[in-house]
Amino acid sequence: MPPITDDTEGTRIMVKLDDLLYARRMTLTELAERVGLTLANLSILKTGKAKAIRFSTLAAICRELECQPGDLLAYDDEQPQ
Amino acid sequence: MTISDTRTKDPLLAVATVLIWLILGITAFAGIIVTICIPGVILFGAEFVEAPQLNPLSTETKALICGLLAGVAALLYLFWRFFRAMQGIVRSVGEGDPFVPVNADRLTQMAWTVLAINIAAIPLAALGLHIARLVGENGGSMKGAFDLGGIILAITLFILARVFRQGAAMRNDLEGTV
Repeated sequence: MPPITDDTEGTRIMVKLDDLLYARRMTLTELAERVGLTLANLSILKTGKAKAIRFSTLAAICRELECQPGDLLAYDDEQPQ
Repeated sequence: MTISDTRTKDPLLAVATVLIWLILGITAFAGIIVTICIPGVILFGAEFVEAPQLNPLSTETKALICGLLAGVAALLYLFWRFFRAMQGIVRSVGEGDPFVPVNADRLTQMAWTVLAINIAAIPLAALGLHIARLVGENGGSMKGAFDLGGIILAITLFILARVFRQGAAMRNDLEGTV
């Protein structure tokens, strides 16, 4: 298995929170209140600036948006380095 | 909210800050006085240090006294550097962000400084004793020139530096985690 080469490796993970929120007609502020996260942290996740996500955060988002982790995250193989 | 937003209002930190400023001030003042004494001894001999009974000092004794004073000034400078590093650490704790690589560097610097002070104190104590004997004064003994506590402090600081380096790396991992 090839090792993690650099810090940009994580940028290949896409967060599709925007799409899910749009589909559920929910605002980021509303989701933040429901999952108990700060709006600032959720915004970091939404804009793809987060380096990591806790299982507890992922589970709470999946619970509120009634989705699977795979609906929220995707791996983009084509993204340029 | 980022970690750096969380400023602590620990009374211990406030006391430490004041104490460190005080020590820095005293050390700097002492360093200036000792440095001024070097040309003073060269020009005016023992009268400069209000010990006219020791005059006339030979050139060799004057040179040894100047060497001792220079050594003491160097020790005071190291002492000052130690507390400057400590000041930086205390400030970062006050800002709520102590686990940064620069604090590991500061602790390493403090450890080397303590080690240097302890090692340099031995020849300086010997020189002081030699000068005292030259001028017929009782210079005491070499007891206390070697301080085991200082060596233990240096080792502790080296270990703490590694703890901080590890902590900084772990904090870096957590940065950006939601």
